[in-house]
Amino acid sequence: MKLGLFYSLLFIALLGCEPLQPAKPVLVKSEPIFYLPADTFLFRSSHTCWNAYLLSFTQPLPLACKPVPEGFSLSLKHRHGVTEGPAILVVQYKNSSYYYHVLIQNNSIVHPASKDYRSPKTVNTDSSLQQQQILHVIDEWRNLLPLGKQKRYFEESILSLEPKAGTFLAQKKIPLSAYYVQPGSPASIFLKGKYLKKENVFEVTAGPLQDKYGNQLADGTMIRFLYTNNQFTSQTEVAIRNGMAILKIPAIQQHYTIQAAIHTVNSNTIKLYK
Amino acid sequence: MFRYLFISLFILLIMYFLLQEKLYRRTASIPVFLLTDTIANQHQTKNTLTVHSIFQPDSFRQQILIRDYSAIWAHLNHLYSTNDVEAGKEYYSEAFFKQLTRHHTSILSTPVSRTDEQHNLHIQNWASDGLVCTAIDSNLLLTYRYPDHTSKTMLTNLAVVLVFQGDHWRIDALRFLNQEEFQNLDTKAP
Repeated sequence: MKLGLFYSLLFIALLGCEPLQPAKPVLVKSEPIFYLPADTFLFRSSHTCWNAYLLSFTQPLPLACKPVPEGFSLSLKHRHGVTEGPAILVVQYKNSSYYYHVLIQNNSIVHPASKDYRSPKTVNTDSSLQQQQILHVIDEWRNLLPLGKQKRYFEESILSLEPKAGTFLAQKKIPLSAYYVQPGSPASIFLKGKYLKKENVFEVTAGPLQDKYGNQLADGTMIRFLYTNNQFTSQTEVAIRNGMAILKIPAIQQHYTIQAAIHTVNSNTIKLYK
Repeated sequence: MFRYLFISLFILLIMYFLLQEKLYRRTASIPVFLLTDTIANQHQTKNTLTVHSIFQPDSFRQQILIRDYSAIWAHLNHLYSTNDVEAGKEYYSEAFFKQLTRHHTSILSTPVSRTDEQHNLHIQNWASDGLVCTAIDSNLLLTYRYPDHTSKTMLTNLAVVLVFQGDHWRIDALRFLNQEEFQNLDTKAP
């Protein structure tokens, strides 16, 4: 009877027992900086199976746990770069969590991208040719890097652009860095015309149209022709192509007086007769 | 015989369209402008702005920047605790989001939470078209809370690049500069 009671109590006591919590693992590294993803976090511990992740400045990074003699090692599950800065290494076993404050850096700088932001993206020779430039360098893992040997992370300057119309790249081979210099208003408009007997029309030509820096006016710029005889005045708009605009007026009347204009710039006035 | 074939084909066709519609319903997501951002709405922090740039943003744009920067931090803190990269994707640039997804496997529940108590944003550069802004977040107060109800407040300095895309500011890059423990709080870290 007594023996039965003893065994029962022993059985209940065994049921109530919990496995011992392993002691806090000891991080084996004297330097506070870890270079990822190459470095591993080596721990000395009696227990070799831990749940762990690294709380980087932006997000938790999953870690892979591997048993080693005298403990375990942790390494990044995804072998990519990280957001550099302070991090908390969280090591968990059941309800116990242990925290280790570390500094993490990338072991290599991959594809540092210089950013050359220009504003405004489009300038016109009529207005200011000045452009704002903001410079900074970012690595593939979105960490800002210092500019050259300086400890500055940003640089700004105001550039004076050449008055040459075209599409330019602020950074070679990066189409997104393109900026544009548009030709301005025409410096003058030269008009000439003749009567084409075969077609029975007056042909009026305006051009070559250039701005004050010699840039050919953009294709599609509208030029307004105003032509009059003694009775009526007519107006027609023509798009410029290759710096020239050609208008054909049916020769209904015997003569016309013609002038062309782009905004406030007027051409010479010509008279055409059949 | 043909009658049964036609009927079965007809039933198959109806089932196909019904299933397609069900599938569409399941994958369709609400457009961003109809979503309520509860994480950003519930977030509270102190934010002061100082402008050092050549081009100065007007007060309206400054207010927008303060509002969006607060939302960015609401999502960064949420990300810190959960690794939920989707929730704040509207506040990350494409490249920043891509970097976050590289370390994403699933949503976690980390024991440490982080809150941003205070920001002092110093605008270093402001693009004249208002699409790029670089800044130093000086004396940023970050409080880390641990499961044993202890906390640690850190005084941090950061450099950030923000880009205006869509209809708000997004974080494009950052650089942790330095930090030290903020001594005024009497709670202790583990």
